[in-house]
Amino acid sequence: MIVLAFFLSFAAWTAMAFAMNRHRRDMGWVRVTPAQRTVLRTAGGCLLAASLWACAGHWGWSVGTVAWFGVMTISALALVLALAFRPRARPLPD
Amino acid sequence: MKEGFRQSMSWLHTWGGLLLGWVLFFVFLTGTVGYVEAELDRWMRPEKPLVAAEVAQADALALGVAYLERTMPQAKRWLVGPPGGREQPELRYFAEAPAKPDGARGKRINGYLDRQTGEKAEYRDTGGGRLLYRMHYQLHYLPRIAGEWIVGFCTMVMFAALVTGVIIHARIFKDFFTFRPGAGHRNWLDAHNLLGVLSLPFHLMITYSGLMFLCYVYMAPVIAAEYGWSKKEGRVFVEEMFLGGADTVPGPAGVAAPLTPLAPLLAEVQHRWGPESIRFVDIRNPGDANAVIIVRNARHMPSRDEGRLVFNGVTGGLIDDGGARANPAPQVLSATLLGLHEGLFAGPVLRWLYFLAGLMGTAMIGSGLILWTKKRRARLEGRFGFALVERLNLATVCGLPVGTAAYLWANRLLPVDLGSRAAWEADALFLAWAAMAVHAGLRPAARAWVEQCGIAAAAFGLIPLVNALTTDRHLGASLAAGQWDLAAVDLTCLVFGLGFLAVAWRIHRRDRGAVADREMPSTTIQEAAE
Amino acid sequence: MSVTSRTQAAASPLEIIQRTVAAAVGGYGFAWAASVLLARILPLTRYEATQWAVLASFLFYLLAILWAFRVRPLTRMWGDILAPAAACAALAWWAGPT
Repeated sequence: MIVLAFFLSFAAWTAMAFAMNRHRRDMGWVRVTPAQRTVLRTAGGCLLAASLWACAGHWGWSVGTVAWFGVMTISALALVLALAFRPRARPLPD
Repeated sequence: MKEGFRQSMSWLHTWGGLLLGWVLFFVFLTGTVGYVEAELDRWMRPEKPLVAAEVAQADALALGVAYLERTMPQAKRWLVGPPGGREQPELRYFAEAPAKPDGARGKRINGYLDRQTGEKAEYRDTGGGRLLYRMHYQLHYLPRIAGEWIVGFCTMVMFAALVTGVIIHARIFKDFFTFRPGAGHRNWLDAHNLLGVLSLPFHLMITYSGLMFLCYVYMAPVIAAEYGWSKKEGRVFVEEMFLGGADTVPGPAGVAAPLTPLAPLLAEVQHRWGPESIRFVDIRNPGDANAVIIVRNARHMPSRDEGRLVFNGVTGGLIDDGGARANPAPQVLSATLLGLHEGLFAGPVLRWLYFLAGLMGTAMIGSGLILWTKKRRARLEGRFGFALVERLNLATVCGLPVGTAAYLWANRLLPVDLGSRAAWEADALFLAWAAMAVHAGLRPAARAWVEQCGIAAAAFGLIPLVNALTTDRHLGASLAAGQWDLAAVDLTCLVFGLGFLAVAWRIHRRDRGAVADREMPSTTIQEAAE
Repeated sequence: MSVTSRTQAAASPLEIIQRTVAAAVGGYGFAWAASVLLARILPLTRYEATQWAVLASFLFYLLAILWAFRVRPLTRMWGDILAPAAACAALAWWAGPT
């Protein structure tokens, strides 16, 4: 359940990140359209809520809410490091 | 006007953060390390059995009370904490003798008992993790009040620094995932921002709740305005606070009365709370007609007020089970904030998340200090103030961790029968830190960073080795016995050692030109954000 | 040490001292007065009201600290801190203890 919460949160942050042009540019993708942005951000929000649900499932609602913040932090950190240090074919745009 | 506001908040953030950053780094680091005081306590007392015997809490409590009956039969208070869980892995006792005729506080004793024999356990004299935790809010070598006020003042500035940091972070959402490793100071800015933003709820909570611990001291005038300025009137506030949960225990009646047998009482407690759930048993006025027995359970909820049963000490009847009491909302809020800050309710996974958040906060402060010098190097290099800041940064960001490692080294290397051993261990921390500060002052700046990171790598990385050479509670033993709490200390030190080694290596290679590193001309925060 | 920017002159040490004193001491005074006023306004028991006031006091203090460093001529800055503090204190005194 904890692992599930982490991956849901990680997926949520990934969706949010790829609603931003700068991260899409780093991946070599085209710019985001407004429709895509809405979808991605909504999906991200839902996944974060799902992550909270998973945390509550493991820890109960009061402790689970606290844990949720920690899960969000560590999954966001993981994504930041993945984006920054992934092997890339093109140099980092300055 | 928005730009002017941001700029003035930027000034406040920068200068408040810089001038108090070194103290705040100390507070955050000791807080983070102090959070794992139970694990450190155990590591620092290698005389404790490797695998603790399984003893029922009721039996351990009986042994504890029997010991106190022998040792301090006339007492104002007996407190026995049975082994149970990570927060309380040992059988502990505390007792306070009745107040002296002149009103002075009675003698206090505390220590550990062997959970199977009930005899006093002899472990090496050490402050353990608890001393580090205390330094977190009292500092060291200072009178307690002075330390608490200094930390309180710094916490208020930390609060302002966090809020101004959010205000001036113009692209807080756009930059949410941005980390640009590479040359110049942009990576330090990104790191500082990320460490702050990604655990922002934690930082805000920990800072505000930190103020709450001593809020009745810091904001005494507010209470005084409502209740009166004399000490007696101030005590009324405390009484009203606890009125719902009457921690106000009557003084001794002066009439002897045998203490009720504990076994049926504990059975009642276990029936209500489940087995092995007692955190401590607090007996007031034992042997007196006004004896009261308070039992608290292990923390499961963030709020500090949960789980309390009060019994009549002579009859064994239940006086208060906390059920009828509905705590007023502000008290619940306060207790929850304090509970969140202490994080004692957290299980193993959540504890690691807390520890990580603490490290992130410490690194946020450290990266902020370093960022200050990075941005101003081109403009201010060569000036005394700049050099001073750079050396203080180095001495703190590298030196204090080395001091913490030295504390653990001292625990292993100092003779066990040395007098005032615990004080010497603390001295070792500060002596090592001072030595690093001297080194930082004497060596050329660039070399000094590599050297100090190297020293830190050795200081942490060799701890498992020192442990193995001086005790038999080393990694081999702890892993083989499945004692993860014990092994975690050695393993975490190893990871820190490797981390410092990687940093030292990277700086070393950069200095030798293997990695091109152009120092960016200093820019304002706005330009960096462009 | 100076408040440097492209849109305003550098601040003198005297200004910095004034703002710091205004923030630290004046701010504390404002926090005290505002908290006591809050405690006296809240229709709760004396303990509850005081507890809320203590909880809120640090937020008031923070507000005052930020306010003291806003871009403003110094005299207006002092007025911004002391006037609300005095007003709160006056209102609190007029309201009387809970």
